Amino acid sequence: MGTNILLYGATGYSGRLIAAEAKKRKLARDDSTNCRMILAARDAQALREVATKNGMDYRVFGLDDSAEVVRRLAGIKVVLNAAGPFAFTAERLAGAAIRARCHYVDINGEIDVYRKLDDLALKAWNRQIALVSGAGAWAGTSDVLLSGALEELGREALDELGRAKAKPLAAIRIALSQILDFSRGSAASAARMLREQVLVVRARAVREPKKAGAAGEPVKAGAAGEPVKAGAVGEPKRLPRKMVYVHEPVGKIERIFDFGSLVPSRDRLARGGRDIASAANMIDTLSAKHTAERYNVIAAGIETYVQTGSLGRFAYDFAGMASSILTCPYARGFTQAQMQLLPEGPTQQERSDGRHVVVLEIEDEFHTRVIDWCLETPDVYQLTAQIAVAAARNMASTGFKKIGWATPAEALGSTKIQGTAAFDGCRFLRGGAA
Amino acid sequence: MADFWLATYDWTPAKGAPATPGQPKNVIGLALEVMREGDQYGILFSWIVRGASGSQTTLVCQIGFANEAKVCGVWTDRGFPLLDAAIRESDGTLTVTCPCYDEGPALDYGATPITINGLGKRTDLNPTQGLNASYSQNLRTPDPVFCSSLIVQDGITWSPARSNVMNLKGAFEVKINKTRYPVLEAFRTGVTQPKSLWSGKIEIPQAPAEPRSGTALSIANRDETFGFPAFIFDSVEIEGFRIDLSRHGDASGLSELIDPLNFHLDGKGAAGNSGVASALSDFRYEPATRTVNLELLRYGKMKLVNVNKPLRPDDFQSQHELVLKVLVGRVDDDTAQARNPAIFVPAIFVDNTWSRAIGRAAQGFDKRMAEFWAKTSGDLERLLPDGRVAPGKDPIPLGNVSEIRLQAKTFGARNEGECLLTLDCPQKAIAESSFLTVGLGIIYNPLSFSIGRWRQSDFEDEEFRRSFARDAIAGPLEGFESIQVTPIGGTDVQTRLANETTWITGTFKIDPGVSIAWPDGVASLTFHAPEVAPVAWKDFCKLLGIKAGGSGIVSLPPGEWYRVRLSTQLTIGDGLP
Repeated sequence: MGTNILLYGATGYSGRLIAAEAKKRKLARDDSTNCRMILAARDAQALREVATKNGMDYRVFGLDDSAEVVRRLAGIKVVLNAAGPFAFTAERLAGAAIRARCHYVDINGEIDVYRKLDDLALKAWNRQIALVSGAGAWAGTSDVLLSGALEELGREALDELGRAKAKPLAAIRIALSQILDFSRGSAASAARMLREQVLVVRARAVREPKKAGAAGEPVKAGAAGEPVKAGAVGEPKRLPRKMVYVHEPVGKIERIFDFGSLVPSRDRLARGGRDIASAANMIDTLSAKHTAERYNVIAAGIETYVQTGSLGRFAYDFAGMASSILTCPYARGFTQAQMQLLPEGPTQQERSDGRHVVVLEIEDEFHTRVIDWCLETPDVYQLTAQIAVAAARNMASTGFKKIGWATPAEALGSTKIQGTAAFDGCRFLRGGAA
Repeated sequence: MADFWLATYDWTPAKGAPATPGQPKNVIGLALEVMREGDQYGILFSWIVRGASGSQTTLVCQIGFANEAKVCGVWTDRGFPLLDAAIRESDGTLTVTCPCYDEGPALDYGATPITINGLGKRTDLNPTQGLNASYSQNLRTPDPVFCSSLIVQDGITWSPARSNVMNLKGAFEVKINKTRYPVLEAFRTGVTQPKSLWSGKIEIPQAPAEPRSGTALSIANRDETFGFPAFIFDSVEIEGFRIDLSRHGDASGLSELIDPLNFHLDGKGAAGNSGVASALSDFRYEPATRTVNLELLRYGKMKLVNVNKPLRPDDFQSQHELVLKVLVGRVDDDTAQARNPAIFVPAIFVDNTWSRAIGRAAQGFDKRMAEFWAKTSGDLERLLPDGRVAPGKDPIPLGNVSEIRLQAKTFGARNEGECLLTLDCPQKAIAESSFLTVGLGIIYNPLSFSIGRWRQSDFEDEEFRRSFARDAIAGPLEGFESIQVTPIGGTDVQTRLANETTWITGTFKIDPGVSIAWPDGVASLTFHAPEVAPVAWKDFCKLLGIKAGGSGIVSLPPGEWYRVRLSTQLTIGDGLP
């Protein structure tokens, strides 16, 4: 008997692309491979059509009744969630996956959702299953690039006693080229992520939490686990450094990146080359922090940028300033109504023409740029489908042993770009793993 | 070294008789063991099971009774289902007094389910070769994922050293009265003529036992061991005190009181493996306010929402409780607003042994047995869990409770147990008219600043000030979340079951019709920190500036203490969305 991957949200824009990609990768009912994809969604009629088209079995259910969801996950090894907005589906489906003891992976791009799912990591660890969020084009690609780069830089340094110590880096920067052909779901997610501040990672000196039951005087300054202000009275000389999340105002952090020369036929992106990018709320930052921890690296800063250009900078800064108004219920309702007017997503032609670029820069502790990679990828929706299917398929394999919280690179089980099904159609414009 | 008497009995179940809940397989007999050291007693009723090696001296304790609270607590944590009981010896006859359900729905606190006669008759002693009778028990703790429905069991074998063992001939009469719960029917009918009777010296092992060979952790349904995880608490009376540590002590150590909640961060450090660290959750719990609530409660009727036979839906029991409550929230290192407000209880004292047993093992409350003494006509009298000084008498008002002592011996003398708290509160019997019935809507009106356990002014840190504070202030009159950590027990228990450590979340849903009163006058609380008190209690006293072994007074003006009456339901959850 083979293993089953359940794709939830199979009738959505991304869901249909993932189902088609799975069919291409021989995961349909009649394929001779050991692994099959089963489709699931709430809408029975639409689901039947997608399932028939791709030759896959299907299960119709909503997420309101958690016991029913757990029953519907019987015999499933991996749940792949493509049903956005993920704020309404991810937690419920991940909870059900933990109960049903199957791995969970999604293509979420919302920071809030990522962090809520992250809270379930201990339960997943105890249940010996893996939770993966963001196995789509953005975090999926940047995480594999970062993992490959950190492997190339060498994982561990040893201290004077021969113990592995965290390798210090000055910066990890991920930059994504501009996307103009948003799907309706992605636009809704982007609107949900609108904030007046941007999440970044900084390394700070922190006090170690006190062990339970340890006797001693109460901590007077800087509670356990909190950043300590420089020069605080009684501060030891060298406190351990830890990467923590901090927020910076929208528009404060900007850099120029070399996005390479994009496809000439796409005039609107043809400015190519060096362009300005602003730090943005992307789950790539969260994923990169996990990956850096996994490789025993402490980066003084981790940031994710999105190419904005001159006009985009203005719009982005304005959106940040107006976010408190734009996110209030009435304005949000208006915004969502506007989004219903958008096309469901890029057409097939737009997808096959679409190109995208991911830049990864790493600076060592002396601020020398040691990694400067630039990867050209296919359209983000197509790439999302490829990465999601490859990740789910790897998680369904018997060799997948990862448990607890995992990043997309861990789900894919590879730090390689070239020659992999997940990154079919990608090529390095600059640098790349040896 | 303690004296022991061990009697074994042949037993075959009566045809058609239902199996006793928790009865193991391969039962070949029954055993009764009595242990005595000074005036401390332990009585164990066990099944004799066919051991893996064919040994006939493997015992599985079904239920036991002990009259020393500390002993009872330690051995319950070590897998022996012991209940606190008064055990008195008179002319060689032991009489066990322990709360039991009989015909009526109320727990009978004065029930004497067992008498044992013949301990004094140590005649016809015949030296015998060593007796090797060991106990196969299970350490139990909630499943780390399905804490509300599954229990993880760790099989261990305790093999006490026995010496000077003699065969004993003569009478050893056991009389077990018919009770509905605990279920003693098999022993009532089966413990008649002993097949063998031994006596001698027994050394109770101090170190943890070895795991049973060939056994791994096993899983059991919670409802078969501890019952369903949902409770109804009717007629609850509360006398609460708001202790602002920034005014009455040092609040900086408060985070240490909630340290157990952050076990997952300790795990990250202990693992020493960066791969593990990145795979676990990185949020932490922090105290939301420097104001800690100390509450004295009387539960009028505690019932189970679902019951297994022979319990009935209308069965109820009562208890007094002294509880320390810390409001906590979940934060990340960049948290703008903390989330998931919940009440964590680092220290809790009860006078109901059933509540102590289930609360510790299944719900993560580190419950200790205590005695609640009330001033009636000048003298202090010990209260039964239902607030009466003796069955059939009128309940004493909760406000009359003046002293709370750790229980040493069940129904021992007052000075045997160390004092934890002395209360001197004016207006002990508050008139009915003083209680204001609050509708749930009142929380939105201007009066709400003074209602409940916490107020807006208690929240000083910015991450707890806004939406978190709103939920925390409004919540307690509608319902609130509780969070605890299991397993509870000594270091050895926690070490053995460390991989099963988990949060236990509970939801208290409060019924409409809450009534509240703010008594006049200054409440004076004298805190004591005896060496034998639980660590959390001593740590709290330390925050108040009271050293171990010392005592100190906290005075609270009107408005800083309150009386509440309510009914509520508690449901234990898995903590999963």
